[in-house]
Amino acid sequence: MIAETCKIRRFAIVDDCSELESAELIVEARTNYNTFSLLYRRHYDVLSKYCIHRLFDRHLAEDITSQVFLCVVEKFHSFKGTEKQFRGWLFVIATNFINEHLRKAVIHKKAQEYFRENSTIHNNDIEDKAVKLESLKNAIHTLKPKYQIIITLHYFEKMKPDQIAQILGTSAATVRSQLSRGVEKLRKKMNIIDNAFHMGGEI
Amino acid sequence: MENKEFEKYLNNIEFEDKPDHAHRDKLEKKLQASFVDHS
Repeated sequence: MIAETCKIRRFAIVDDCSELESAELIVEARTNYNTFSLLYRRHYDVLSKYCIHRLFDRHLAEDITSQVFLCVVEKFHSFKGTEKQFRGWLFVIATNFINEHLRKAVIHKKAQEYFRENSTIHNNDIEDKAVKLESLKNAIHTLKPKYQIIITLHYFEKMKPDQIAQILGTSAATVRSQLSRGVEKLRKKMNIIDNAFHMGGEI
Repeated sequence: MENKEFEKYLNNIEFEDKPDHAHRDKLEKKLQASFVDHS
């Protein structure tokens, strides 16, 4: 028991532990709930923020975060890798749940309708951060999932293209190219709102 | 907005994204039960 506690403490202290140590932690977490709990607590915030950034909705993000970790418990025995890979795995599971949700829950359609309805929004409102964030949310949700994922990971989770590439199982060059295309599409969607104001009417 | 301006906007965007640790703790109880079921 004492040895077990020491082991957990060692993992907890060494935040950037070596590949070997982090692989050990994963193995240990398969059979020891305390170690699993440590792993969960280390990654909860990062995953929770990713879900909030993708969904722009805290309650929904909490639901998805719960689903992700419950899925992790269910499939944990099949996961083999380091803690860094574990984090990537969490992002993959979360991305799948979020995409599935956006497909099923008609948020995508609602976003498009909202986006059209709010195209006549006034400039004073556009200046308002919250409204602009709401516009961004709706514009992002009209993009294809691949663009949504890359934009969120890069701009909101502050990941570099090679880190995103590892999670998505693609090359950094592909990520860079899709990021650039996605941002351009998003910028045009956001500009439609600004232009609608300058033209003083509906688009 | 032009490209650079827009990228700057995305880079500096602020979210109310502080994780709710009450949710984290509540979820942990469910996870523990599920962990026991799966081991």
